[in-house]
Amino acid sequence: MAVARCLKDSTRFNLNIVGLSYDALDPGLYATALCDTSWLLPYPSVGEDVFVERLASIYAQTRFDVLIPCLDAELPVLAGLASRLAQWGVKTLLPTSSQLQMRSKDRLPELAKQAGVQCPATQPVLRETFFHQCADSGFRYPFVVKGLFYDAAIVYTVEQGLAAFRRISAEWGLPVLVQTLIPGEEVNLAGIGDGSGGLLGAVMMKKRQLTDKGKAWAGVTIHDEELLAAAQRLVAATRWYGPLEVEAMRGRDNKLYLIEINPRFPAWIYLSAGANRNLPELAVALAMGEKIEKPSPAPAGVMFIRYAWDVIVPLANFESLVVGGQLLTVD
Amino acid sequence: MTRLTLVNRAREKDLACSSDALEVSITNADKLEESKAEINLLESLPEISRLAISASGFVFDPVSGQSYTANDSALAILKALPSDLRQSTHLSEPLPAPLLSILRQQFDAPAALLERDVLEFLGVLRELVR
Repeated sequence: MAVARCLKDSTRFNLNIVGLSYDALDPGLYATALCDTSWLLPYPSVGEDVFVERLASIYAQTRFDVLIPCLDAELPVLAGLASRLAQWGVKTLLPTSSQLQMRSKDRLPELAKQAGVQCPATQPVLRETFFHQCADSGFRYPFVVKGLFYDAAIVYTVEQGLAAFRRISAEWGLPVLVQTLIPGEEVNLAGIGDGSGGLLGAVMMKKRQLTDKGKAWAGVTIHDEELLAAAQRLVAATRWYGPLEVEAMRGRDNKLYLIEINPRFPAWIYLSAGANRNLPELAVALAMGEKIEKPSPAPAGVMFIRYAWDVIVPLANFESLVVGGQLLTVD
Repeated sequence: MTRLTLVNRAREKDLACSSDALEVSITNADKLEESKAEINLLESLPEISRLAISASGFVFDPVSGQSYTANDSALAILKALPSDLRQSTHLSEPLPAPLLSILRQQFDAPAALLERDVLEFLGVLRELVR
């Protein structure tokens, strides 16, 4: 929804937004001020053929020009479809499969080393026994347990470790990652890799209020030269193409530690529009092959505070998505 | 006398350096030297110089994203700093005379006591914005 909101705020384009989602209860599907039309997709896990067939069907009806994925889990599938999407005439900013692999959570320390960025020890875990014997692998409680695509928990005991392992593996599969806990404060950077090693339009953000999952509920733009330089080296090392989010910790030792690289815009990306560095708009311009000027990093001191909003949905609208896979609005 | 306070609302902590002229006197030389020794740890001051300070006492650190509110005393010091320490990369002792001169015009306190309070305040500030 944040990407759609940025695009609706665009001063460069007058865009029709085609909203794609996997769940009929995704509120963005019913946000008619943001999405001009809304469609349901099958989860990529049902199989590539089914996914492509449905996407082709939606494309035939909407003729969207640019596709911007916003979920980690759909990136590997769409990266593999880049050439087919190009044949259809759909423009994308998709990293390659090997670029995606380079920043995957289990290979992050390797990339960090290559880019000269510090990174906490990270290890994939397949078995529960790890949590009894973690000291043998150099992990001492507390540490972080993460899913391959999403979710993370700080665990302080064997019991908590086991519970997190079971919950996260059930939802996101194996392996689960464990990562040394870096006490400190999280800083994030959103930007766009130009595919040639350059970073376009960096927006840096410090979380000021967190949800119980550690997600930003309020934040403020910052200007951290060290974070910017680290992100530039990471983008150069991967020759990243497309949106990305660099998550880092400013440790109590005042050093910067790379925590994650997400291959899409973050949920807080509307802050980029608020800071006059509308990154989704920039992504569309880049995808459309328009000439762009590299924007300077966003100014520090622009805040966002999130809130929850109830979207009222006539049952017939919900029905149209559940049954037909397309939102047909009924007043 | 002067109470120097910097409140970090995000952390909901009152990080204060305070002193009372009745309790602290110039004869407490050990404490004074201790404060000076502490402030000598401030080998560089770019962290302080980067702060954006508004007239209302709202202070924003553009690198960490933290914001603070400074009371009148703290604000007086922060506003006095640009002509001295905020332009410096190294803090030498004693505190620059212009800074003390500016503050003495605003606070009725002996110079040594004022200097001690300011040094202590800068020490706390340095810890906050490092």
